[in-house]
Amino acid sequence: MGAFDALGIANSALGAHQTWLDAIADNIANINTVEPTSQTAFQATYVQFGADPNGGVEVTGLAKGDPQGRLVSDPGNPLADADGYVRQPDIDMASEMGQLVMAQRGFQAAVQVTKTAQDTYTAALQIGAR
Amino acid sequence: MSDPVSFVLHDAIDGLALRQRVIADNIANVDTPNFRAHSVDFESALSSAIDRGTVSTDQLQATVEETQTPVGANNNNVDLRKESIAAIQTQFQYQIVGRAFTDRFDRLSAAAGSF
Repeated sequence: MGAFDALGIANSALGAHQTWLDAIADNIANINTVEPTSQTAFQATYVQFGADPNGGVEVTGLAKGDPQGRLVSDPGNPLADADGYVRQPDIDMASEMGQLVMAQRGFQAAVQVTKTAQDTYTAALQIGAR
Repeated sequence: MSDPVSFVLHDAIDGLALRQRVIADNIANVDTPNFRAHSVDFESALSSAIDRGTVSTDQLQATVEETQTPVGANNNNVDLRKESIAAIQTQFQYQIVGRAFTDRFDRLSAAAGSF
């Protein structure tokens, strides 16, 4: 164990939550990305976390959403097929917004850990000081 | 003072000051196209000199190297989060070495009988 493990562990949490926030931002940005039925839908990115055996958290994988998406009737759309259908991504906006709050809170918590770690090290420096 | 412990402390505080300057340079260039972050290593030379017992006579040289981490937009590989954490850690290490200096000088003062 190193002397500054708390900072490194908090850093891993900041990085993992940053990746999560980036993925959510991409998913929400593309929630209205429509494709013709001849092509695959935009695939949402779902971040998978795993515990780092040396302490901290790491992104262990990025799962992709369903390439089939949802077929929606939108005959006025220039991308619509002969039956009037287009392909929309299968992304649940409510779920994404919920995850956005969770990812933000997780990031904030990790920032607080770095602050508390700094206070701890500052206190340790005072041991035996005159 | 020219005892081995003073040499170690001097080299450590010099290395940490260099690292803090390099971190500042990395953060200053966070948006500079084609920039590569640099890293400092003074610990390797210092610890091997301590192992050899030649810390008082060696000219210890810290190395500054370009990092090879993946580049992002702008062909730039500065990781602002990593640099910020490194700045915090280096600051504390500097304070710890400074504290070691202070304690040594305090002992010297006590031995000399002055306050």
